[in-house]
Amino acid sequence: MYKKVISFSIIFMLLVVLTNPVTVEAAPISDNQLKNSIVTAADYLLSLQTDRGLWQADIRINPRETAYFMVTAKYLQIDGIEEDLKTSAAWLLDHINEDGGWGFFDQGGNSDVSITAIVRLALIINGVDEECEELKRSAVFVENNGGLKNSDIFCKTFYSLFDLYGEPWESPHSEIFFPDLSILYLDNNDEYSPYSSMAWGREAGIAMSVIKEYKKRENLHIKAQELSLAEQWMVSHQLEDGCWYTLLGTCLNMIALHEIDSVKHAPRISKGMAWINSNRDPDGYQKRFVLSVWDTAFSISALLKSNIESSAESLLKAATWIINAQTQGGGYNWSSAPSGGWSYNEYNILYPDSDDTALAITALNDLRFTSYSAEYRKKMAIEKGKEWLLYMQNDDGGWGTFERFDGDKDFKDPTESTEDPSVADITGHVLTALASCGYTSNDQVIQKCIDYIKKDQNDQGAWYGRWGLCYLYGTSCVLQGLSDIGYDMDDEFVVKATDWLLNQQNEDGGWGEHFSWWSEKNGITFTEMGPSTPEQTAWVIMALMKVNPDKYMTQIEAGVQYLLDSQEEYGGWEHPYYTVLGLNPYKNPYYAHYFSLAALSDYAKVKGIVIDTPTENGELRTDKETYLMIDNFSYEDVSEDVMGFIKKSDLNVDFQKNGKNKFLLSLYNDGKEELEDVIVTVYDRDTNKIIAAYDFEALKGEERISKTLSFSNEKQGEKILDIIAEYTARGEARRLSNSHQISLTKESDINVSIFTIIVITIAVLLFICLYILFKNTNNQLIRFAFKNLARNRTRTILTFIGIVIGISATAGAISLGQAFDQKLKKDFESFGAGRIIILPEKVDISVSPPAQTFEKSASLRLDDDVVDEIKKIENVKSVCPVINYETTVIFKGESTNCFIQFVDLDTFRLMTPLNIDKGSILEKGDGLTANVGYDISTKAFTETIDVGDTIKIGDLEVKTKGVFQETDGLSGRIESIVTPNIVIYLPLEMADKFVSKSYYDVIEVKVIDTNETKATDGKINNILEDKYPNRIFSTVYTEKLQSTVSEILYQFDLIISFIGVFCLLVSGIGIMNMVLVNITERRQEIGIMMAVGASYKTIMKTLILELVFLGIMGGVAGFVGGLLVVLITQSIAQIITIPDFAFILSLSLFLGIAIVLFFGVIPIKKALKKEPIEALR
Amino acid sequence: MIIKAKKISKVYNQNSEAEFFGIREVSLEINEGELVAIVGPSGAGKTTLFNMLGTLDTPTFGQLEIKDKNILSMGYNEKSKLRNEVIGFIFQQFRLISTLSALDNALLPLLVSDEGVDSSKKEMVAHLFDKYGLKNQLNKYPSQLSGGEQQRVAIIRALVNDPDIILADEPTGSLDSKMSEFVFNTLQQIHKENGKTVIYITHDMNLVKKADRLIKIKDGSVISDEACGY
Repeated sequence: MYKKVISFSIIFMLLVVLTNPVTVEAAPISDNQLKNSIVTAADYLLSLQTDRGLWQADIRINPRETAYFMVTAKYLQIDGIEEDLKTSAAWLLDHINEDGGWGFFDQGGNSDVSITAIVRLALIINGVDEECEELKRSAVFVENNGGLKNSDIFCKTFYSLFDLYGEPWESPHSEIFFPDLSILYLDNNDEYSPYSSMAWGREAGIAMSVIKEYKKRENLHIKAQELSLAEQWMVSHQLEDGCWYTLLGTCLNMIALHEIDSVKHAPRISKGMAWINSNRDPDGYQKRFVLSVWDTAFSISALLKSNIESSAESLLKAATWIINAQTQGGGYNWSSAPSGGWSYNEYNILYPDSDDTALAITALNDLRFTSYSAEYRKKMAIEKGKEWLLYMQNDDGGWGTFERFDGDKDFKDPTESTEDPSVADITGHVLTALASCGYTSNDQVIQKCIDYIKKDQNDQGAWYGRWGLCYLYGTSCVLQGLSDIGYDMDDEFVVKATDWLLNQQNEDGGWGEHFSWWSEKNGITFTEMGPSTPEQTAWVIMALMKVNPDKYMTQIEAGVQYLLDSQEEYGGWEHPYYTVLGLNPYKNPYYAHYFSLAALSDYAKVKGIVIDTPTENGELRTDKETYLMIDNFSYEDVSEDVMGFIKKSDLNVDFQKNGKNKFLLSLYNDGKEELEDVIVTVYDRDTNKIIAAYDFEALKGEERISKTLSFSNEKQGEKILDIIAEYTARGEARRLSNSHQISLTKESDINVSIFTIIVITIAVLLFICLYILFKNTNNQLIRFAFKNLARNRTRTILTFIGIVIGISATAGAISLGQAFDQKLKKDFESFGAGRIIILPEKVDISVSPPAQTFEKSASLRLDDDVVDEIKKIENVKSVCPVINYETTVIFKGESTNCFIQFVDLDTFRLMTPLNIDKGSILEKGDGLTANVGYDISTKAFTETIDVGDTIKIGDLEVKTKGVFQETDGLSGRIESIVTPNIVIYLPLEMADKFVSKSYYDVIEVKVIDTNETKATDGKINNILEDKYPNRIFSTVYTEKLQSTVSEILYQFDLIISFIGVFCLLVSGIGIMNMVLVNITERRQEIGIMMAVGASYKTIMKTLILELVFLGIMGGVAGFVGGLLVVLITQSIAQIITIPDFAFILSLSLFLGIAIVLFFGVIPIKKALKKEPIEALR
Repeated sequence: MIIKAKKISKVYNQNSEAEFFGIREVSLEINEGELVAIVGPSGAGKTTLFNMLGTLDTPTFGQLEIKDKNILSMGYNEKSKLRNEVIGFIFQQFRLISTLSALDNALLPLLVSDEGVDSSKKEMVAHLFDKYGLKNQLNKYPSQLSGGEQQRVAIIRALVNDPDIILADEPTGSLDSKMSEFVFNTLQQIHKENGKTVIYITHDMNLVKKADRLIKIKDGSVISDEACGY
């Protein structure tokens, strides 16, 4: 203590001597000096960034971790690190304090008995001569400080491993550090579960208990079950990078696993060792942890404040890294917590903490990605982080570090190392983070928090900060947080705090707070004000600038002056003090850099000084917003909550009704300049689904693009569409958002052919005629007609059968033709209606001979320009370029030639009529993966290719991502003349690896309104003819093909119909015969009727009634028969379509009545022409 | 004068070698309420004349007026209407429609007429059935009836439209003597009670005697036309 005071005094005096003339009458700070300072500080900070984009300070705590490493390595008998052990031993010997011990301050200062003891153990077991001067001196130090029994529990445990200490478990906190393993049976939420203890305790505790059980084996009976649970626990808690939470945890877990089964757990132990090795400095110092999220978040915030142009690239990397470093679980301790906190480094996925989460949110909210997808991803990360933070609020309103407590735990003191209550510094950071998310002091969460803050303030007006030193840190954090959240900074308790801060200012203008005494036992620290340090000064002046910059400008400027004066030439700051308090005091050398930079930048902003570093295009950037561009997120992520920052646009979006359930979306560039990367997305607000998406590389000056949106057969009713247009104008990303309410009317689904309508109409007309004819007929006459029918049953039945066969054949044949037509239509639909394929060659698919055309010179090169031209056509939905390829494919040693298509994954999903059977369809960013056709999967090789299997295409290994369902023979890709069943699909961007083609083989186009396919095809042809005159190309579309096949089918229809008509004729002649015989037979009867004065009409009616009755009966039976014909034929031909019942029924009735009338009336008429007497004779 | 025939002839197979005259230039005038018998040997042209008078056949030459209407200038439907309203036929073979019941057969002229059948007509017919001894035969079919019964149904059919003229072609020709007498008595009764013109062809000399007027035909020509007063 005495020495420290002296050394402090010397430094203090030196500082006073050096800075005194400047600080007393502070000369005004010059803009240039400030600018220069900020730029050099920012540049220096940028130089500290790692290649991966993060910052990671080299933290020096004390020699304990180095000793742990040496002890563990020795105990586990790790090979190949002898040199490292020697280096570390040398470093330890080199860093002994003058008092003969080892301690917290790596450059002199207090020694600690626990640290000294463990260092001694490390040195002794690693072969350092016990008689050497350092070990002799340290032995005295340990003896003077209470001996080994006064050391901490870990130290004693390590000693016991080498049988140098007896019963380490009889110590304070032993119930925490040697928990009964039966707690592993408990539910995570149980009061005594491992999760009830502190995060930093539990990862060591289980391992400690296992070690204890093994060391006490002869006395204790460990249950196999519990041991196995502990083993599982330890195995599952090893992080991805090999460590268990901290260095101590890693050492203990490695030892415990070694005790259980050194062979089985060798890979885990060596992974842990690798982590230890990677976290040791070349001089032999072993690090306890790295705080990459912490350092990176502060660095981002500082650089954003500095507004240095050259930082954009670095910030992009850093922000991307920090987004990716977010943990995906709620932490093992809080199984019900929402996911999304940040922990202090990217590997620690188990223990997100409130402090790092708050800092990450603040840093990310300060920056903005120009890519909306990246911005969306960022917002999602922030949203999740925010939810996690809100969950972590303690019942008292404040925030703790790793844990949330619900009020039933009684925390004595935040300085107690085994507890994790609310602390002011973290609570301050959380306030800032929530403020950046839009929270204000009116929110209930915040009010509760402010209650906590008020309660936590000490008598002097300061707050205790747990993770920084200490009252200066806590108080600055709270004041900044309060100001950010919009709290009234004139409130009494705020003023009291501010006054306290002002009172602590040193003569040199800076602030400084230092450890005066450290108690290992309680983890408690006592501090006192002392020489200024840059980071502490920065904290305070940042807080003062938040509280009231005008009022405290003198003090702020004195602080700024201190920072400027203490800045090193290279741009950074240096000092010898420990300013951080973790579980032990330590120093983070980056604190001085990023906090000073942030404070100076804040000051520049308060003073209105612009750091006018020129941007690339020569414009000065004066706004604070930093736009970043990252592209590694897919567009599909974008949703409507990525809003805002709409600037005046050059793009006009117009939306109008354009027919029944049809709307016209027009994009118009009203400027002269080209707009780039125009992406227009239409969402359905209710379902949030994308209805349509268009993507144009460029929209030329004054160019207009119109797109039709049609909603056929949709549900009736109102719909709100959100149309979001994103584009780049003059290098700046912009966004337009429009909403339109549309109302849809239901379209009838009934699809009746004209033929059916005609037949139904004729049948109905016929019935109407019959009705008129028989309207006035008395029913005796009708009865009479029926009686006549029954007179000769056999003949009636035979005639009836004749009629039925005739009708069945005809109706069956005609509707069979229809069924084939429908089937064909369906097949083409499954092939993909509204698909237009553009080929760079002449393809003639029509049946009629081709028209004579003049010869064109060369094929059209299908390149991106063509794709872009087609995209702009009105009815075009999406465009998919394809490259064809054929090569040898090897699977499990077998090889065969396969047809390969490289498809554009942006549109493939939309275009393909294929359905996935197993796995999933290719997506952007999948890399070299394949979707295979059904036959490729099942038939091409002896063994079935399954999802996940690797096939060798050409020279490259390709993983199978999905297998398509089998499709009908007809449903093929026309251009390949093969069925998709035998095609392997690969991403277009991978085509380079196989073929070198600068253009596509085929372009597939999907239209919006399939009724307009022909017109769209015409437009494509016109535009391509216009743009690329005399180039050979052709377009093929489903409907065109369909009409060709229909033409062929029509002839087939005709033949079937002829057969039907012949059957009808035969049955007609049968009817005629029956009527003739009937009339001959009934001549007398007719004569009688004539004689009694029946008119021509009456006799006619009587006879026709009989026939009509027969016709209707025959028609109904013929309908059934025709239906049977259709169904039987369909089942034989394996075509399943639903027959058109109405059509067959009306056709049958029509035919029934028509043939009986046609063939019956002739003989009747002939008979009635005669004189009555001829009939009577 | 209800029927006025002037030189009517019926030529069969006209303008061919087999051309022959069914009746040749027959002139007749029949008054209302007369009971006329037509007699003659087979093939003399009795039935041909009967058909002409009943408009079942059309004369090839000559003039025929029934109820002052020129038959030769009439159309098919006019003649049908005339038959329906003015003439009742009784045939030798009864000529009932086998698929219709006795009642329906009797109602047939009404059935095919524009008027149709109503319940009063039905009642009237049922009354006639009673009157002519067919009380329980209404719903029987012709095949279930005896010849005499069938002929009485035919007589009712002839009466049902209340015609002015009853034409009967050998009404008793298919019946035994007892039944013949009964049927003819009925006919005579109709003539007397209703004052209808009844013209009948017969070979039965007993029936001939009962006529008011006797027309003899031979080889298509009327050889005598005289009142008889036995």
